[in-house]
Amino acid sequence: MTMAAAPGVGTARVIGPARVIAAARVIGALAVRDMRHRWRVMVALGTMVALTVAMVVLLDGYVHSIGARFRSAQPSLVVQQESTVGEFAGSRISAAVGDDLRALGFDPVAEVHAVTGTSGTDAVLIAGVDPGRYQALDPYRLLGGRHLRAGEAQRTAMLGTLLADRLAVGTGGVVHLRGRAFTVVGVFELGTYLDDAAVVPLADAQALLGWGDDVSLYVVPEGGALADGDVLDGGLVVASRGDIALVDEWGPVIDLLVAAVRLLALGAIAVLAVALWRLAWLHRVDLGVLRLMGFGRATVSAYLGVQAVLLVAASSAVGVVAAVAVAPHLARTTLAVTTMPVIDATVLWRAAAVGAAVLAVALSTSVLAVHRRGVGDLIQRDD
Amino acid sequence: MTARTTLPLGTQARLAGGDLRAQPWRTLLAVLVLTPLAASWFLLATVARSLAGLGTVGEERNLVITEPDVFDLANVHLDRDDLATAVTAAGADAESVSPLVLRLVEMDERVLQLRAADTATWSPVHGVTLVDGRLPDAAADEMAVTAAVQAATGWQVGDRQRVFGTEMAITAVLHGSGSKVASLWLPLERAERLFERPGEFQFAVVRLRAEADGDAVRARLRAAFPTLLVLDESAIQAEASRGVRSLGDLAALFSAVGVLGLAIGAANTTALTLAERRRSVGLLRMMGFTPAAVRGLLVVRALFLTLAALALGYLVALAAIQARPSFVLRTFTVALALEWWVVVAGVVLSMASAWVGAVLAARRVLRARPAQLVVT
Repeated sequence: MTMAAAPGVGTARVIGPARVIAAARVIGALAVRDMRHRWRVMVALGTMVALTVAMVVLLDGYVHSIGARFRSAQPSLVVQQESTVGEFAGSRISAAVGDDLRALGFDPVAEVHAVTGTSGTDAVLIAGVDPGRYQALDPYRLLGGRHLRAGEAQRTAMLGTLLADRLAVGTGGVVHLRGRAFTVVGVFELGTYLDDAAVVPLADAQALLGWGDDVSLYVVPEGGALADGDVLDGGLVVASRGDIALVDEWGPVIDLLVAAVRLLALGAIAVLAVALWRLAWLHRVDLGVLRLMGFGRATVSAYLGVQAVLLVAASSAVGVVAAVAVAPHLARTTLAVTTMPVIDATVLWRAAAVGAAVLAVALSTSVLAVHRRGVGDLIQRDD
Repeated sequence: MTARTTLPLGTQARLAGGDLRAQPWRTLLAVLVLTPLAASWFLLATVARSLAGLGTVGEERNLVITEPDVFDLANVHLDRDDLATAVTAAGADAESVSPLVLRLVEMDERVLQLRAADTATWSPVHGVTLVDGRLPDAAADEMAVTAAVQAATGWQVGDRQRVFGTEMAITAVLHGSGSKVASLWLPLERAERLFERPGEFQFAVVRLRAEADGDAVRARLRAAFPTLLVLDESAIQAEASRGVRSLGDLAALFSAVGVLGLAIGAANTTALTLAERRRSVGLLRMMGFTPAAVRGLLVVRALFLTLAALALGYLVALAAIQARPSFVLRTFTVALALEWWVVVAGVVLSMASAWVGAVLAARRVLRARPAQLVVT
């Protein structure tokens, strides 16, 4: 550290803003110069912080996406076959159920949900909807093309954005469902599992599956004679729409991954704290001399702070960028549904909080290492 | 002191151990810094291994015939004619050809399989054996569950559960080669009544004789069923579990990063030691310890610390795993276990990481002249 390069900072006294800025520049320059001098240590520590932040972001993005896509409960109910996940596949009920619901005073909306395909790679989630009412139920964002229309001469479909990407088909293209060609009239984004679906008119879905008038479920509004959990005659059950009850079974494995990443983050913080303690220890004589020359504790803290902020901020940014780059490659399609880390504002805010925690620990460690010693202790070499 | 080129390993270990004992709190701190990294690695490796092992379920000698839309079982409709065709095509190479009803059922916030077959085929074809209770009566509302279901749900023989609108009594717990699959088992006739689809099933299961040429039988079946799927049972289970296993990729990726974390952590610990002990290292060099001997001491010291951290990390991971040793995911039982070879691999990788980290951290100091180390 070059003591001669400390203009404008003398013994403790009130100084003006210009001199503070000048002093800050000097301190910053000294701190950066020292980081350059110890670039190997900085790269190693930065790598560790970057990897930890990347892993936290990826895992948080994964958990966040599962919750958002499969647990988007809405103020409406579905009546479906008991013991099935009707909004996904497996439920098949008679059209007479719709008549029963109308008799109860409801205006039910019929839907068909099924999965077609011969292997994991070509499995497709199909949603048969009422062309006149589906937009009100699922207020999706149209990314291209147009909406479905009732009574079209040809078979038409709208694709969720993830399915469109997976099949590499856009508006105007053709998808084959159960061997039949459907013209893609639009691509949409909803943010739920339906982003993996091919949405087709209800009648086309029924014809495609050979179901006649049968449907998978009926959607009814909340607040009527039915409530979530009601069991009806004929092996039917009432469930909350949008909460397709498949998230909980992922809980144990997600919990383990979260625990592992938290331990890794804890280890990274500990390693970083020890490393910055070491750097402060290596500089204790220099910092003691600074203190002797009249630099206050705040100045020394600023010196350590510049290093900690640069190291943590830069490596956290690298970690986030790496996570964003890697996330699409971690997409996995399971039973027609793609799961992948989704890195949105929520996830980024949480990552920033982790980075701030790392920074706080790192900075306080090195500051503590220097400030708990008097000037005399700092400048005495006893090793 | 006369310069020596090397120190015996025992001496290195004794000196390194003495150094660690001399400052117990500092040693404890160093171990505690590395422990979370070690625990994290063990956890991630366990998850990755447990998920990777899911694709090995299913009877090897079973071929299954089903419709192409195998992902929506409610839409698969095979009947007695299909069974007769399979019997003819398989010929004498088949020990048996039997129907299997298969549905996915959502119960207790998890997805399970519902399987139904003639109870006479449960053991010889499907490899399940009775562990507790008695086989369900086809005329009554009764079912059996695999040990995997029992482990996941805590259900006991005698309990009653609603399945597709009907309350069923659990009369048996089953175990066998297919027990990784969390299944409810019903007699075939009871399932036909439950789903109101008499004579309809989703899979025709061809049990091959031990000496049969599986490829030839498969080819004959494919010729007989040009529009249907003919697959090994293990292959279809592997396909079904593919998505679940893919989560293991994520864990494997993270565990690779964990090893890197251990290396950096070990290097940092050694570097801290050297930062505080430059003069001590200089004195050792002045006394005749060669750079290799000092490096050996530092490496052994780092290995001791890492070993202690691994032991603690192992205990932490074990506690986390034992809190929930198994669970059901997409109808498959994931049994978490720290296999011995995973532990050995973890120890070897971690020790290698510590060795590399210590050598790298010591490199610069050991290049300096002893006098320089003592006076600066």
